[in-house]
Order: sequence, then structure tokens, then C-alpha cells
Amino acid sequence: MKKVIENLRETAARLLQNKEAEVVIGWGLGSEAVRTQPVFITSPDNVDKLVWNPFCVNGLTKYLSDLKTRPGKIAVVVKGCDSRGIYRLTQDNIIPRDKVVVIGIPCAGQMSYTKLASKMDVSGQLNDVEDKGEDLLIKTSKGDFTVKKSEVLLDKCLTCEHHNPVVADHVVGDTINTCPTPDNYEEIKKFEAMSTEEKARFWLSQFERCIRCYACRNICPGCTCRECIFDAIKPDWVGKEINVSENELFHLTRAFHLAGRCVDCGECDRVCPMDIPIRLLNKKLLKDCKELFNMEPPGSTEEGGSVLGQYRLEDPEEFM
Amino acid sequence: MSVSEKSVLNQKAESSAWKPKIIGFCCNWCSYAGADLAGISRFKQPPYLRIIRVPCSGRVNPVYVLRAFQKGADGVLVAGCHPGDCHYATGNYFTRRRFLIFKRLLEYVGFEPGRFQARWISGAEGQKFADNTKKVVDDIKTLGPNKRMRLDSIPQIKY
Repeated sequence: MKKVIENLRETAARLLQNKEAEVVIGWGLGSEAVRTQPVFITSPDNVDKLVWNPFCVNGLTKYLSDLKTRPGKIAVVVKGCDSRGIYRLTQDNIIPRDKVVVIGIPCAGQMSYTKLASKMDVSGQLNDVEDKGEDLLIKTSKGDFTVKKSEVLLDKCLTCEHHNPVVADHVVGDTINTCPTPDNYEEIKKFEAMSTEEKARFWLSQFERCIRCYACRNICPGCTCRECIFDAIKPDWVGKEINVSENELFHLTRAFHLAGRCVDCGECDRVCPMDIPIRLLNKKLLKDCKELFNMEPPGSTEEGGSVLGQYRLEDPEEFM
Repeated sequence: MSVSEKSVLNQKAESSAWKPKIIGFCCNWCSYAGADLAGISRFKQPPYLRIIRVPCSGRVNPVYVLRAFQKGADGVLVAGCHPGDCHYATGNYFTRRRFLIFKRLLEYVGFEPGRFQARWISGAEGQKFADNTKKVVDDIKTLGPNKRMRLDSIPQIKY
């Protein structure tokens, strides 16, 4: 891990020095021991702020959409899951590929803050993290803690298909050779098997809690429309009131706009302040697109686009 | 009570009973013409389908469907040309993909199967249009009124 950090800082310093990039977006130490926060480095003197540890959960690709008008190239540090977002942005013509310098870090899995917080005192500052195989030794200013990796791993990392970034101009760290765990959508199947009443009860209780902060939209590398349907007032596509009906309209529409485009980075789920399992909607759409139209995981190749923007004559027929 | 009074009362009781409200998005070039043909051919069909004419079934945004449910529709039908017959050559191929996915999403979040339906009905298939209307109305009658997403069931905030 130390080697990766050194490598990362070196690469960032070199990019900034040689003017190959004007800014490097990466992770820096956060307010608590097991948190990180995004940092924007513009000078080679500041590269020491960059870190890499198993708590770099934030996806940084959406910042490319915000910074696309900035002069010069933008370097961004990505994990495997975030790297699919790069292809999402370039396929959607949000940012040209040659404006982005991708620094890829192979990632064995990230740790969940909520799970860690239930097992240790997270209020200190992080001094060091040591990978002990099965366990993780976290040295903080409030003491040292050992946690079992399998107990604190993020749920999305359990079925990770891309431990190594799908796109990277510079790779720091060693390639991870664990074979990808193919997602067989066990959880989605469980929800599909529920009765209509059960499904309705579950989802209405989820939609009811939404506070319409639009964090899920703002973090999403697929949600980059200049004029968003949820902001539009004329026409008033989606009511702005917070009630279960308008919330449901919002969630179904948001999910559907991502149908066949969602790169399944799981960021919407993570940022939701009300813990609405947004990813369950996205996953369902991914599963259907895969089953009905043989879709590749979106964002895993440079070419591609929206599955619903294409068609085949031999698509399944149900409406006859 | 006279016979005529009784029949008036019966009529009143009937009119207050729930009748399905079904919104049909019909493609101008096929299904809408099919509905016309069903009409001029005097095929009997239940009067609960309210047709909205669209230039192509590919013009139907899934938000329209959800909006219809919000505004009190008990069922929604999207009808367009048979694949290969699209006036704009390929519009209904996109419709097919879109609504295959959308129908599954609705059922996943707990809409009853049958609340939303899609059909291919050509301009020459007046009989199919009438038969399909009967079928959709029967389906919705079995399901009963839709309560999901209805805005009029939500207490309005008074400012």
C-alpha cells in the first residue's frame, strides 16, 4: 500500500510538472480515520496530500463533468468500478477522452464506513493501514484496531467484475489476479420472487422516505443532461412536491433514464442520506437488459452506448 | 314505485359504480387507424378506453405512463405498428426495447401485471383493436381501481 501511494504521488507530481495535466483529482485523508475526501491537486508541491487506502470509496469521475470547461487536461484517480464511469462520460460525449488522464489503481475492495463504525472507534485520525491478508490493521490516533476484511467489505465489492480499471493511462499498483466474481443477481431474484403486495409495500416504504435531495443524480456519471427533467419547470414533467407519488415518479424515471447505461458503480446507493436501496432498481434494469438484449456491462468497453438507443430485429416479442 | 322510477334508480346506481379509466396511447399510422376502423365497422367494445393520438409509439415517454397513473388512470395501453411496419421505419423497434424493460420495472416495484400493456395493432386490424380493448378492460376490471401513485389520494398541503 505504501508503494502504491509513493507511486501515485510520483505520477501525479510528474504529470503536473510536465504540464501533462493541470489538476489531479484524487483522495486525501478525511475528517475521520476511515474516511477519505476528494482532493484537487494543482501544484507538484501538494502531491503529498494524495492517499490510497481501503477507504477510498468515493467515485471521482463525476467531477470530470463539472470541470470539463477548465483549460488543460484533467487527471483523475480511479478504481475499477469508477473507471467504467470514464467510458460512460466519453460515450455520452460529455468530455473528450484526450482531455482526461486516467490514473488507475487496481482495487481489491473497499471498506464500508457504516460497518467499520460499528466495530471500532473511527473518530481519530488515520496514521497507517496494514494489510494482513485476512485482516486489516488500522492505526489511528485513538489506538490500533484489527478488523476482519470480509466483515467490513462494501456489499458492491463482493460481486466486483473489474478489480483492475478497464481504462488507465497510468497504472499504479500491481494488477490483481483474483478472477472476477460474476454477478448472478441473486438479490434481485429474491425481490422478483416476492408477491405483488410485498413488492409494493417494500418499495412504497422506500420511496416514502426520499427527501428529493437529488444526491443520487448529482453523483451519477450517467446523469449529465444539461437540462435535467427533474429541474425543468416548463414543462413540469415531475412534480416538485415531496410525497410518495412524486417520489416514486422521480425514482422510476431516474432509474429508467439509466437503463442500459448505468455502469453499476453503486455511488447513488452510497450517497443516499435516507438509505434508499437505489442500486436494487439499477441492478434490475441491468439484469433485464442482459437477459433480453445480451448487453455487456455498460462502460466496460470504449465503444458502446445506450442499449435502449439501439435495436435488433430479433429482439424478444411480447406485444403481439 | 313505478317501473320507470326503478329503472332511473338502477341507472343512478350503475353510474356511481366504479368504471375503469384506461389511457391508450395510439400511434397515428396504425393503431389509431385501427380504432377508427373498429368504429366505422361498428364492432362492439367497452367505452372505457380513452385514446391519445401520438405520431409514433416511439414517441411515448415512460413518464407519460407514470403521469397517467398519477392522474387517476387505472390502466395504460401503448399501441403501435407491428415491428417492420413503422411509418418512420424503426420507431417501434425502440418502443419494443423500451417497454419490455419498463413493464418489468413496473412489476418489480409492485405494480400488478396487466396495469400496463403494450400491443401491436395495424390500421387494418379493427377487429383486433376491439378485441384487445375488451381484453384490457376485462383485465383492469379484474384488478379493480388503481390506487398506486394516485395524486388525488395524497393529502394536499395547505399553505
